[in-house]
Amino acid sequence: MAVHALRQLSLDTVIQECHAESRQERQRESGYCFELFRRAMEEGDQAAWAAIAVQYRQLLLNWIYGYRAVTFTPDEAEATAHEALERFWRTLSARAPDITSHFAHVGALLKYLNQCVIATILDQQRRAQRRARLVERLQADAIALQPIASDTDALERLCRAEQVAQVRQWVQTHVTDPHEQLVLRLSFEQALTPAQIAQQYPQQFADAQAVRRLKERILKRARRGLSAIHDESATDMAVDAEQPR
Amino acid sequence: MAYTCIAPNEITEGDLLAYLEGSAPAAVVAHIARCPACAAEVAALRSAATMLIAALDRPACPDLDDLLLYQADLLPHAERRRLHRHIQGCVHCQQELVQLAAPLAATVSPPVVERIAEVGRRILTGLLQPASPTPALALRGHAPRQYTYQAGDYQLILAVLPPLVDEDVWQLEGQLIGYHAASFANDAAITVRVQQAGVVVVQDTLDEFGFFAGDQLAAGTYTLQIDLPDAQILIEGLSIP
Ligand SMILES: [Zn+2]
Ligand SMILES: [Zn+2]
Repeated sequence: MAVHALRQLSLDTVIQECHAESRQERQRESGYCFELFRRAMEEGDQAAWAAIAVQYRQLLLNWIYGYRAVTFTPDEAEATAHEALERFWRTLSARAPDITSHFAHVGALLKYLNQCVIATILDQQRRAQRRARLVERLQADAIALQPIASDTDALERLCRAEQVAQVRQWVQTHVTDPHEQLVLRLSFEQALTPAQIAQQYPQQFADAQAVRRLKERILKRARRGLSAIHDESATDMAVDAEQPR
Repeated sequence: MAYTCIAPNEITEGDLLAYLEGSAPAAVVAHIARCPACAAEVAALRSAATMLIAALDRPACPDLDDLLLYQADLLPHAERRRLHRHIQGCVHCQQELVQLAAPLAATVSPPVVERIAEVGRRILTGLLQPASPTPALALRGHAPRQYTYQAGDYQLILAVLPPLVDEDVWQLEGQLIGYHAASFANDAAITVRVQQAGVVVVQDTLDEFGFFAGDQLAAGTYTLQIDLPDAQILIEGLSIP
């Protein structure tokens, strides 16, 4: 069917025909499913978007269960499917909202959707690794940090990609002094103590206390600069010691 | 309402951090015990430190959205180049890209899974021979096909899965039954190769349960070869689809 004719059809017709089209071989595809995606992405049609979620739910779940390295519970698989669709929408709205000029047919869109599933699973793996590392760090760290390590919900939130991105953004714009950058990298990425840092970089730091001063300065700025995130996730970890300010 | 420090002259910059690390002198510990303002500050610094530790894991790595867009070639040129430079030096991102590039196959249908498990409990002897295709599982119009081969005491089950995305490529999944990783010395990997006209197009190793898989097979005729320590299994004329 010609493109302009497809665009005249009611959404219900497009949905029904896409459903029928999905049962056909690829060669006999007639553009209804692509039109459904086009309406969702290019026209921002919420109903088209909802229909996509219904139409491709099972395919998404099949892909997710097909991932070999992880066994998903039904709830996890549903959540992953949902997240993958969100990622599809989010990334394309930001970078390729005019899907017609980037994707030739629905097969190309489905290939991208397949990659969104993989990206979502990889993101979950990153989060898990980040959390494992954080717990390890907190348990190895001084007594004062330990209570946090047992609050799994708070840790989970801290390791979310969006929150990590916000913190990194803050670091990039607010830690610009070379000495501070060095302290930040050595303390938080590489887990060195102030004494170890002072020992390894005697040219830069007179003693451990000099490192502590810089580190405390960074943390105080971070506390103020990241107060929005802090209020949401971090206060409940520190509730035992938190006082009204 | 903010507290103010009860005795600012008792505390210098770096002391609160020393307290956090458990290395503060007794006088500082005593001050923090008495001073609500400093105790609150310590708690806040602790939270900030935790946030920074969490955020600075793989600090230079692009997030998955960007990696995905990179893989799909949907990034503007400058950003693409920036990511490219990072990826060249980052094994983590390289591994993730490899995974992003390999399309996920849908699950093997339950009948095939059951069949593999069921066959796994029996040891059949006989010649290498194809089994009849399984009942259809309609996935975008194509059905996966399943074959059983007998090679010596080994049984090999192959499932050819139809394309799910726009490319005309097929996936091959298999299990070698009668193979037990523990029965072979050390952990020497058992290699599976799929070749066409002498060229290896897919290579995988058996996992501990004897499973292997290959993606991106174009329609055609292949030879499958499994190198065991004590034998070589050869299946010729494997036709895909
Ligand atoms: Zn005080
Ligand atoms: Zn990286």
